[in-house]
Amino acid sequence: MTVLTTWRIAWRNLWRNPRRTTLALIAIGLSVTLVLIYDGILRWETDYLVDTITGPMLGHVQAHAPEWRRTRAMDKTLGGVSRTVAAIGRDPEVAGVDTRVYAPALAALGEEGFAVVVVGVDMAEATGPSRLLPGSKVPLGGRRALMGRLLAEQMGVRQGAEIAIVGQGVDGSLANDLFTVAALIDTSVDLVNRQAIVLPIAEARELFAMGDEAHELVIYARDPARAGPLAARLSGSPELAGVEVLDWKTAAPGMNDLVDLVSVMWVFVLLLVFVAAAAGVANTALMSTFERTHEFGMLLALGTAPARIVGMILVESLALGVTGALLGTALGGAVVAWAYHAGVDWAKLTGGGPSSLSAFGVTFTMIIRPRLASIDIVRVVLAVMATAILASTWPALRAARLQPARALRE
Amino acid sequence: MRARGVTKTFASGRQEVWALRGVDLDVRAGEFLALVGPSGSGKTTLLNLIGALDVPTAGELLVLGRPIAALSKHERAHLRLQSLGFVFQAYNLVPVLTARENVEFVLELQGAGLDRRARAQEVLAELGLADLTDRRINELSGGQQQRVAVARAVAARPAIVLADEPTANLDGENAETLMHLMRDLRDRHGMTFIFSTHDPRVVAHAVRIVTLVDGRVARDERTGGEPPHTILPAATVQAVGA
Ligand SMILES: Nc1ncnc2c1ncn2[C@@H]1O[C@H](COP(=O)(O)OP(=O)(O)OP(=O)(O)O)[C@@H](O)[C@H]1O
Ligand SMILES: [Mg+2]
Repeated sequence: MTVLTTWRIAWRNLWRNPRRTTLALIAIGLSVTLVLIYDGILRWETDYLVDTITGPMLGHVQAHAPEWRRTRAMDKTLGGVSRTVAAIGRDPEVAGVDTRVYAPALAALGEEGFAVVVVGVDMAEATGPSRLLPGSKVPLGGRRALMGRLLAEQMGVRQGAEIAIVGQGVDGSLANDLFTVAALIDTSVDLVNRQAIVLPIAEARELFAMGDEAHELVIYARDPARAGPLAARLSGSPELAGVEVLDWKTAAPGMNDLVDLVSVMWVFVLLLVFVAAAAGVANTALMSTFERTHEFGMLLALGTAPARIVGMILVESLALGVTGALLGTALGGAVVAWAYHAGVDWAKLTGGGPSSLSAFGVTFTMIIRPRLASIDIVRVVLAVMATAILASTWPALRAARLQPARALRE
Repeated sequence: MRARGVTKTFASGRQEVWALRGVDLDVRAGEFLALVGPSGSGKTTLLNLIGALDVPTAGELLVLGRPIAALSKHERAHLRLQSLGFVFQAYNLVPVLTARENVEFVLELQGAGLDRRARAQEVLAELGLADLTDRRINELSGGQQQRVAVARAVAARPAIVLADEPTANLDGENAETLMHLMRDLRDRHGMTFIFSTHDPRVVAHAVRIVTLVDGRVARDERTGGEPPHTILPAATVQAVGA
C-alpha cells in the first residue's frame, strides 16, 4: 500500500484544485514542448552544420604531405595514393575517401586571363549525397570541366564555351590545355563557386604531370562524431606514416567553434525549463501546503514521521512535474515529428527572411528538419523532475517542521 | 497517567501566559473522563501534554509510565503513534481519502500487517459506518466524519484516547450518538477516554468529571455507578499550584 498510496494521495491532492493544477501542467507542458522543439532544431542544426561543413570540402579526416597546408606548393604531394586509399578504405569506420588535387592556374577565354584553382576530384566520391557535387550526372572526361557559376559570370563564360587553362606541372613543366565548360556549378562552398574549375582526378593529374599523387585525401567517417579517434588511428597506420592526418575540427577550428556555439545554447534552453517548471511547481507546492497546514498538523499529531510528510509533498510535486513533462513531450514530440517530415522553410516562417545563410564561406540552406534523440527527452524529463524536487523542498520542510499542537490551533 | 504540579507557560510576545498552574491528576486505565471548565482554563493544553504533543514547563507528567518531559521529539511521536488515539475538534481526516483509507493509512503508519483493510472495515462497522467506508470524507456529514475520526483513533486499540471537544461542531443528536459510541468502545475494550467539552449533555455521559479553572483542577467528581475515587483535597491542589 505504501508507495501506491503515496502516489494515489498525491494524485488526488493535485486534483483538489483542478484550476491551479491545470495551469501548472500547462506551464510545465508548454515549456517542455518549447524546449523539445528548440532542442530538435538545435540537433538538426548541429548535424546539418557538421554535414554542410564537412561534406563538400573538409571531410571528417584529411591527409596531406606535411608542408602542403602551409605552403600550398604544387609539388608537396602524397605519393602512392591508390594503395593508400585502398588501405584506408578497408577501415570499417571509413565511409569513403576522396582524392584531391588543388592547382593554381590561369583560365583564359580569348585574351583575358583569370586566376583559378583547378580542383581534381574522384567523381565517384564527389557526387555522393551531401558531398561537393551531390547527385551530379554531368558526364565528364574528354576535356570537359565544371566551372563555379560566380567565376563563370566574372569571366563571361557560358556553358559549352571553350577555355584555355595554363599552369605549372609538379615537375616545373608548362601545363596547358583546352577544356569545354560542361556545366556551371552552384556548390555550398564559396571558394569553389568563385574560383574553381573542377576536373576528374585523372585529367587533373594528366594536366599537371602528376603520377599516382594527390594534394589531399579527404576521408569520410561513418560516424562524424568519431572523427578524432579515427584520425588518431589512421595516422598510426603504416600507409600514412610521415603524413599529416587531421580531423576536421583541427583542420578548421573556426567552423568547429560555430558548431560548439550552437551546442552551448543548450544551457540556456535548460534554464528555460528550470524557470518555467520551477514556477509551476513551486507555486502549486507552496499554495497547497499552506492551505493544508491543519492537515499536516493533524498527521504530525497522530505521530506521522516528518520524513513521511516530506515524502508526500515531494511525490506530489514529482507527480505534477512528470505529468506536465509527459504532456509536453507528447506535444513537443508531435510538433517535431511533423516538422521533420514536412520541413519548415525559415524564409516562409519569418515572412521573407533568408532561405539560405552564408558563414565561413559555406552556404547553409534554411529548410529546418528538426529531430530529437531519446537523450533529449530523458534530459528534459529529468530536468523537470529535479526542478520539481528542488522547488518543493522548502514547502515540504516547512510542513514537516510544523509544531502539531500549534498547527491544529491556528 | 499521572500528573504532579504540571505547569505550562507560553511566551506570547514579551508576556508569559500561564496555561496550567500546577495540575495534579491521576487517571487509571479504563476511565471515561470529561475535562470541563471555562474557555481558556487550560483543557486543550492539558490534553496536548497528556497526548505528548507538547512538554510541560515544570512538574512531573507520566503517561503510560513514560516521563513526557524527558522524551525526545521522535520518542514522543512514536508514543503518540503507537499508544495514543486522537480525536480533534476538526481537521481530523485526510479529505482526499475515503473513510476506510483514512483508517488504513494510520494503521499502515503504525506498521499493521496486511489485515489492516479488514481491521479498518471492522472498526468502521463498529461505529455504524459499514455502508460508508468507500465515501470520501467530504461526502460525509459532520457527525459521520467524527465517527470516522473515532474509528481511526481506536483502530489500533491504543491505551488512551484523547478527544478535544469532539462534539463541538455537532448537533445534539450527533453528539449523543458519538458519546454513546465512545462509551461503548470503552466498555467493550477497556480503553481510557479523556475528553474535553463545554456541552452539558456530553458531560452527562462522563464517569468522572474534572473541572479546570485558571489552569488548576478546581473539582474532581465521579458520577453514576462507578466506584468512588479519591478526590484530592482542594488544599493540596492549591499548595502545589501556587
Ligand atoms: N500556543 C500558545 N501560545 C500562547 N498562548 C497559548 C497557547 N496555547 C494556549 N495558550 C493560552 O493558554 C491558556 C489556556 O488555553 P487552552 O487552549 O488550553 O484553553 P481551553 O480550556 O482549551 O479553552 P477553550 O475552551 O476555549 O478551548 C489560554 O489563555 C490560551 O490563550
Ligand atoms: Mg480548547
